[in-house]
Amino acid sequence: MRLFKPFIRLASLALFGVVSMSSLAQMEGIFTGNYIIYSGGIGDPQKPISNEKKIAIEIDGKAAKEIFNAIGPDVPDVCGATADLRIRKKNDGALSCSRSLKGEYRCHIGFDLQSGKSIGGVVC
Amino acid sequence: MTTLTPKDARGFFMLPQGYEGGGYYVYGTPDHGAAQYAHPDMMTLIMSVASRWQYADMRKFGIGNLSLAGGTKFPKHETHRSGLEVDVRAIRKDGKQSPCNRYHAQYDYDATKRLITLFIMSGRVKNILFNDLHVPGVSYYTDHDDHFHVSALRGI
Repeated sequence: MRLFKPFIRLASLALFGVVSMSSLAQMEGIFTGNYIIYSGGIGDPQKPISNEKKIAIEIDGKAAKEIFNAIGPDVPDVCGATADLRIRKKNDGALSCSRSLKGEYRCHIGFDLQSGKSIGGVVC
Repeated sequence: MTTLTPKDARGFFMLPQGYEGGGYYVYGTPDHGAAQYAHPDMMTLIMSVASRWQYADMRKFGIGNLSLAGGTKFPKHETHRSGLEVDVRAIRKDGKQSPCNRYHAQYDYDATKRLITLFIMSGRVKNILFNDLHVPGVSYYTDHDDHFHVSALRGI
């Protein structure tokens, strides 16, 4: 039995390594989405101007689903959220994700391109 | 010449554009009404408020995004798929048809409050999101400093 202990330990480490790599692999990938560079508010965006440029980025698909799952729970009674539309937010909406009844996931982030500050990228 | 108002697959009509009878003007992204398909209950609400507004104020108020044709997902918006949500610009003192947030010198608190009150008094409103919390009947939501978001009740 004593002979087997190092083997078991090695096997455990190898297994743990595989699991870790596998988990890491599940969290990586290429995301899809779109962006807009603008001035003013994201709800009424205007053309960017020299001293005011902001970016709003929308992520969808698998990446949005993984972010949505990572930032729960749902925020109830917000922005018309119902069973048809589940919304999750962090940091006063700087990071916001939603899931529609059809299973569409979307996440939004945004930055002030002058200061680099996070400002959110979606409105209700 | 008669111009037909566009109608989408849900049977929702586009909000009349270039409305000359007073009340409102249109803006939005995408423009030319592509983002202004309204549920019949919302259409009734807007027309009702616009009609009352023109008797109280010479300025028109800005009606923005409603929903896209067919209720497809609306970029940069969590909702705006049912035709029962609309964005409305805060009123400017100078009456210009451009955005104005609540910190701007042109922001007309009194007029914006009157407009929001008209929406509420219609009895057709579920809730209004706007970040000037001095206006009665509104709730805070991120990025609602330059416009208010009205959710209409269905079937009233």
